[in-house]
Amino acid sequence: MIRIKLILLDEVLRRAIGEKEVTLDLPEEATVEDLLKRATVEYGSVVLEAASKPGTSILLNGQSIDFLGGLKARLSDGDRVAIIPLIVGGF
Amino acid sequence: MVRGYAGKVLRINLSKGSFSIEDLDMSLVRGLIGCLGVASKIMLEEVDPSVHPYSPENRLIFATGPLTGSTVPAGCKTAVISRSPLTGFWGEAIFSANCGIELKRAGYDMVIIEGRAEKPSYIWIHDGGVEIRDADGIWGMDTFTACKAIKGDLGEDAAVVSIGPAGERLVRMASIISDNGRAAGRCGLGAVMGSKNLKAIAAKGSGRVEVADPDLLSSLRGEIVEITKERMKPFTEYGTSRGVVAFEEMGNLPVKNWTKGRFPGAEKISGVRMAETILIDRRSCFACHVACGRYVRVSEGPYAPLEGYGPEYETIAALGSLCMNDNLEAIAKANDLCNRFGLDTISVGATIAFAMECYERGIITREDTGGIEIRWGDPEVIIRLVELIGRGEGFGAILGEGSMRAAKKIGKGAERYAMHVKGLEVPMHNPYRFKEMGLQYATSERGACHLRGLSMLPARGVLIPDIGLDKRLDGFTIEGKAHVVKIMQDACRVVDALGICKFVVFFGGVPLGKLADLYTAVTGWRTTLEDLMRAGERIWMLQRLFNVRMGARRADDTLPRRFLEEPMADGAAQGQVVELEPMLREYYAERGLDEDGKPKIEKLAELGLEFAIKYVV
Repeated sequence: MIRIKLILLDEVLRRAIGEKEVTLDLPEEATVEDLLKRATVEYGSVVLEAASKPGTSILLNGQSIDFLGGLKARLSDGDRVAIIPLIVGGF
Repeated sequence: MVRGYAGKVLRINLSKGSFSIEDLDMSLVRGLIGCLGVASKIMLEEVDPSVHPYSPENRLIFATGPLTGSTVPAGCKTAVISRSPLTGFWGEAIFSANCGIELKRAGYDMVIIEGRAEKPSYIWIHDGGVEIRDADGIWGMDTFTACKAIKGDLGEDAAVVSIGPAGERLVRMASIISDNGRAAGRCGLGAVMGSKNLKAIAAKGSGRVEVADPDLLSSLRGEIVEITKERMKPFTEYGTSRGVVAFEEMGNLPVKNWTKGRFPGAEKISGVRMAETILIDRRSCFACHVACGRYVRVSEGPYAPLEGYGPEYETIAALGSLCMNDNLEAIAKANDLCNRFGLDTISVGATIAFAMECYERGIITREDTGGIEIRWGDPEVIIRLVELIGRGEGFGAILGEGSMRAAKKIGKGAERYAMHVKGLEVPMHNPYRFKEMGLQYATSERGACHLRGLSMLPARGVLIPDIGLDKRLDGFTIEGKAHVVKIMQDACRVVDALGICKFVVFFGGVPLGKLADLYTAVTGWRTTLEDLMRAGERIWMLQRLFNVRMGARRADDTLPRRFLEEPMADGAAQGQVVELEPMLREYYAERGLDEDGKPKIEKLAELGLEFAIKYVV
């Protein structure tokens, strides 16, 4: 098993789940997609909805998964995955 | 007939106590969009390298754009321009001052101020004329009190911008504050005002900004509000500082004078926390539907009573995470003090962080600081230092010179910890995380600037397809970033010259082609985005030329050594450094600059800037 921290930076998601971050246990070699599916099972469709909004960033240890293989990016024990909405703040 | 411009330029000589009115050169405006561009030519021609920033010969220009004061959403911007006392180079700060709108309504697109008044004065511009008035009674007042006092004299509907005690004392990081709570913060332009014995400018006009095609403008206005309203909701709800926590997660938040990426206190200083605690109102700039401005109240505790304009993201990071301070109420207090003294919160926070690092390393001790233990994260120390900087007292007199000069004065290797470019302190976006920001900081005409480029946006997923930035970029790589920085700098010059808010345009997702439509609707000049981008490039190039004339060369286009040599310790950007040189080489080629950073003659000719060639030969 690996333990992954899912960090929620979308206010809608935070309010729906009532947490700023959650920790999920997943099988070895799980992917970001597996994590989102598991979180959806645990917390409802709001997770997938937030993750699939246009422009939403999904970061794995701070890097966009676009550069790590997308949803198929492989997770390791202790990884942090963050869901960040498009307009997160300014300059 | 061309609309959108008042068509007149006001030139005031404070030494002589006189003024003159000139026609705005419309043939020049056509190729340079607005007065930001025109002012670039004026600075180039009228301020030579012998003109010290504080000399009467230095110019201080307030410049509007064709969209300023129109009904275009967030058409509220005025640029202040001078030779900067912090950098010695191009000094510029843009703010949403209602005074700029009233200036235009009174019939002027731009005010050029030269000379030095014999005694403290303020300028009153109105339909009936221009007056240079005695400011004896308000000299020494904080910015907001001064604005209020002037309004008391002239009427509540006069719009005022003022310096505070910091500008009066020539503190090099002094800002100019408007009565509606916005700051022309960067580059020490408040000190230039102070050097001219000019406390404030007030304006009131009864005219309005004429528009060539009101129907087209009305339809574009509706379209832009519709495009932006959903995307800008987070700005309305949580302000610019909503990003603190996400920025910390992605490695963008600056921590402990740029030595760290992780900051456990991020939640405590975020815009969300502010909305849950001290926020009591949201404030809009002129003609803006977003209201990202904060208004806060602290009713109890050590920082009470406090009620006023709240801190923006840059301020929260500069006086917060950069100094290891996670006390939001203390940040609000320090921000309010900066506004009242008339101080740039970015330079103040960055210089305090520099001092904290010097203190930790033993480079300075209590003997140097007048007994203050400048320890990381101590909110009392931050507030004390803001007061000392604002008053120019004790150790504050050294810090108020800015981190570059303070480091030189302190010596003992302190220069290594002064985080500035060309003398301007680095703002709050992390070049370790977004390499393009490193190149942008190194090449911005006013020194380290986040707003002249916003080049990290594509890496944050904010795309700008009209100029080819149609897919997410990797912030950790340098490939192709020279082009991104160049094109984003030009695009930002366009938005700035128009007089509209960058946040609404870029974060709101306004297609840049709409800017050309807006410009056409307001002025009546049929214009394409390509035309505007070309003009943006011209403006950038004229300001580059100004810097070259002031002695800037390739060696000035650099970053603090820390970014180049010391890998980031932790967080998402752990292990990264900024590979500036290869980006810079590519950028010079892209820009048409020679190896020494000077514009090539053929490039100037290509841009139609033949008149400027004499400044590089």
